[in-house]
Amino acid sequence: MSQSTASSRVSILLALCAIVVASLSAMYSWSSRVVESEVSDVAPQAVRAETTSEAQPDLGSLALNTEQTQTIERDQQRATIRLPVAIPPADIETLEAEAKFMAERLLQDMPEEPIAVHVSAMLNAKLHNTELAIEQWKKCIEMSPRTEQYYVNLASVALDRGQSELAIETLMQAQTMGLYSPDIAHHLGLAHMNAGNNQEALEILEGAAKEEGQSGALWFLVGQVKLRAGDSAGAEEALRRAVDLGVKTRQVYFNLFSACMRNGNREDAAEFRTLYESFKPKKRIEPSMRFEASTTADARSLIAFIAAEAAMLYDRRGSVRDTEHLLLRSLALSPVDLNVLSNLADFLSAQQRFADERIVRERIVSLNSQQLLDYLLLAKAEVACGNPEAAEAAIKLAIALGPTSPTSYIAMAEFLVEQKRAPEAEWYARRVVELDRSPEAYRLLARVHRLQGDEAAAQSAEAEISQMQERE
Amino acid sequence: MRVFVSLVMFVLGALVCAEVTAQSIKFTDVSSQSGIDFEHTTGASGEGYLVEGVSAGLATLDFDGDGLLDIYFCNGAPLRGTVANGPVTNRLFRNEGGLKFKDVTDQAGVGDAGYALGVGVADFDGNGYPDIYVNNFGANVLYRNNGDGTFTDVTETAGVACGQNVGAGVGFFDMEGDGDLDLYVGNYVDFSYETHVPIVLKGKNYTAGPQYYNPVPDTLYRNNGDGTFTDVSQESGLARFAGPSMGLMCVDIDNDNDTDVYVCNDGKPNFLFVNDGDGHFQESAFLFGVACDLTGQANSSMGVDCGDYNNDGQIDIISTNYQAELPNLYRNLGGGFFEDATSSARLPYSLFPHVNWGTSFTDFDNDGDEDVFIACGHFDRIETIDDRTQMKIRNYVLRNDNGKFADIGVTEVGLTAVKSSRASAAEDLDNDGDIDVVVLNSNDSVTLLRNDLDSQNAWICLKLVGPGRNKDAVGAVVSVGQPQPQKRYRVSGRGYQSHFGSILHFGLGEVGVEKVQVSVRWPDGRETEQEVSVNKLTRIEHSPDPGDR
Repeated sequence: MSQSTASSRVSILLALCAIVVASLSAMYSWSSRVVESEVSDVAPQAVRAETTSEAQPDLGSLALNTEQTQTIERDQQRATIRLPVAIPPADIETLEAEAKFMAERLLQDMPEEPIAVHVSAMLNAKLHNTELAIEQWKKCIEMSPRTEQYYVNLASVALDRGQSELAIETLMQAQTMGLYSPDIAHHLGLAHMNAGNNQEALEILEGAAKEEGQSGALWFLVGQVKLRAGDSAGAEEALRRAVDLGVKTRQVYFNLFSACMRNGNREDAAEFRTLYESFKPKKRIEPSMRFEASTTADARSLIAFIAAEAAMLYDRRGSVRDTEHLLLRSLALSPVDLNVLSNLADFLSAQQRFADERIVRERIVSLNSQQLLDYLLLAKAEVACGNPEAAEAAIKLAIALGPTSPTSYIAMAEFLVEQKRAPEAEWYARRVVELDRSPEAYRLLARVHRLQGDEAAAQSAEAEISQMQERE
Repeated sequence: MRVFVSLVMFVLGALVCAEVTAQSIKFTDVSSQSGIDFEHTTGASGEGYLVEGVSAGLATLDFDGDGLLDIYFCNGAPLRGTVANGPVTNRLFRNEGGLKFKDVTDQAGVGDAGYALGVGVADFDGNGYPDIYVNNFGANVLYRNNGDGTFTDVTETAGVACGQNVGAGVGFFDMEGDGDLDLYVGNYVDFSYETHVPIVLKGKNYTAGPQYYNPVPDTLYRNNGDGTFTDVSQESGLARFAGPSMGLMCVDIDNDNDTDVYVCNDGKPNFLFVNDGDGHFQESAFLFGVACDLTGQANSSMGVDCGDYNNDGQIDIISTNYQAELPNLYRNLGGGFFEDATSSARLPYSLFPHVNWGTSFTDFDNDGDEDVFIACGHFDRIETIDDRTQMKIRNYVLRNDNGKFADIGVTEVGLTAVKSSRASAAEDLDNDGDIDVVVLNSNDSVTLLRNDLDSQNAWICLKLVGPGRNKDAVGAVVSVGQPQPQKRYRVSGRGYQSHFGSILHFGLGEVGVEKVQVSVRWPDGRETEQEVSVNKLTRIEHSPDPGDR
């Protein structure tokens, strides 16, 4: 492989990473908005659980490094893990005791880690020991005053306790620390609304919504606060915008119904009422849900969360066994949790346990993950395990699932190039160019041509790059 | 500099004065001196039966016509598995004046031993004395007031036992304008010992909510005018709607001069049965904006009252709700539409963690606007699994300042009782012109709060005597123009499955006159006006002469 080819490949890979990052980012912010809107509808003050699960995958390791794999003997690639398929039975007391044990151990092992305190606070919030949870998040803020999440969670629990003033005070404290985000605005707006400070809520939410522009959740709240303040025309406009931005919930339709009724727009009101009523009632509520206490399912998800969070902390400290044990425990309680599966796969990848990683990534794919990256990471694991055919199959599936995304075509072209199957790679490189007429795409095509000895075609592709640069 | 200091002192002085004014509502807990030794029982056996948590309502009535309001307390009864420790009945306490009461249950003959949940009071036979209807878990009871201090159980002859339902609120109103009072009976869900859903958490029994049972439609009885009633639930259109009913009220919500029915549902959208004037009803809560809260969420509504908290001449509604739900204040926008004004009227968010039950719009400080009372308490030992609220918790008085409400606090205003409250009734029990409060506490003794208002604010109390056999004038609306327009509604069924407010009370502020003009729109549509003296109870009778106005 020549130097120029290698450098070209690096640039293509960087481009690939950039595309993946962009698409991931889009996906992430989309899902984030959806969660936000659901949160605002159902339980506006819901505590944010995720700490480390937001971490992006290591995109730098996306290269399908066959050379590395070739150095690993096949007998070293035997899997040492099995993934759970069913949730083991357990009673709520046992599960809660386990959760408490995990949280306490974490605190003992890492008292200096604000995340350890945060995990304990999460546990207490979920078990409705809210006073203690508040104290712990106050401590988190002392330990790590620039972590927004601690302020938001403290405020959320304060709201849950009917303490809107404490919520406001906390979030304003975050702002004085220079922390500002749509989430803070969201919660601060809610806290003001709950305190009856509609004007303050409106100023905060409208400001944030205008700044963010594309946050349906914020526009939804703007609509709500305007409705509360009697501005039904403004409410209707904001709520319609929220719907346009993807907030299509029972609550937004109810508010639109109310706004339209007040605005004398009975035809649209009737339509929104129909939409509101189209949401089916939730399934029969589990008995102990009456108290919002821990059902067994709740307790399982709680431990799964704590174990996953603790695993990340132990991983950071290099405690391999703790990390693996906790991730597997988390998975045992929540076998289809894609976040935990991804964390486990990344951990195994970092440990160069590719056979294990492959098992986990296969599970992720089998759960119909909608993220192309998961298929590409499976392909990478397959390559690392010396299964190029399986890798190729995974990339083909990624292409089939997202036929208009250049990402998978790039991955396939790169893979085939590495497999020294340049003629086959050309078809994929051409599709990349069709889908994304960028310099990076033409560089890939040029490289593929060159690998086949077709210098003229390679130069022709590079000429396109030059023309693009001239046009720019 | 001196000027600046003086100015500061002036401002501080003004603030201090404002604070003093703000704290003018003050109660004294006189429960222990009142002679009311009623102790409510849920009859619980530890199984967590649904009915344990929702008992019970109470009623105020002047059963003996002596001008003092007496109190009737509903009681639970031993449930399956409970051994009774002595007789357990509802009890009637006669008001002897000065907030002293005497148990006259046995003499009056109203000591029903059923499992009481709700109660209604009205003079259904038009003999001038209020009768009592008790809504039980099991057969209900109608006590006809004989006018001599005794009652007769006429349930069977009247035909109003209403099966073996789990009862809720009760209301009397003239549904078709024939002059007598018909009977609306709220039904909760199809709970029975056989359908009981056990819930065990950490080795303890907890109560399964209404969502584990099927709701039961309410029952409407038409008064035949001869001491009997006919079940007209089907033909009236009500039987098509099944909800887990709790508190309810009969009042003219759409201002068309007939009486509608608003029903709280526990965990389902509330009902507003709009009357067409002939006793046929259309369920319209959603269209009116009073079915759900602002977010479209159906709350677990418990108690209800109506008033005109912002004195705009339109009837408003407050409903109390379950834990993690604020009460809903529905402001009437006119034109048949209400908005959820809970937040804009600043109902304190500190109510959010608690279960709220009894409620009333009441002008506690006689300043001319209606304040709010809210009774709170959980039905389980919730604090063992959730630190946000408690089974026994304080009650709230929310002072109205120009349409915005503020919690007046606890200790300094005498709201020191910490019990698991259910029903509450706001009445002038000592006839001193300010409104006192009586609270039924679950599995506990009652709370009697004497209003020790320290102000020169004037007031009027009005006892309406309606036309025909509707002597209670249910459905009447009274307006006072001075010093600011106010309205009061003669409602049947109020608060949490209770009855109170037969005497209408207006606070007038520092009005500076001896008489005020009062307008009455009677249930038959006639309107009358007259002057009444301030600081007095005035009896206003419906005039047979239509030429009053």
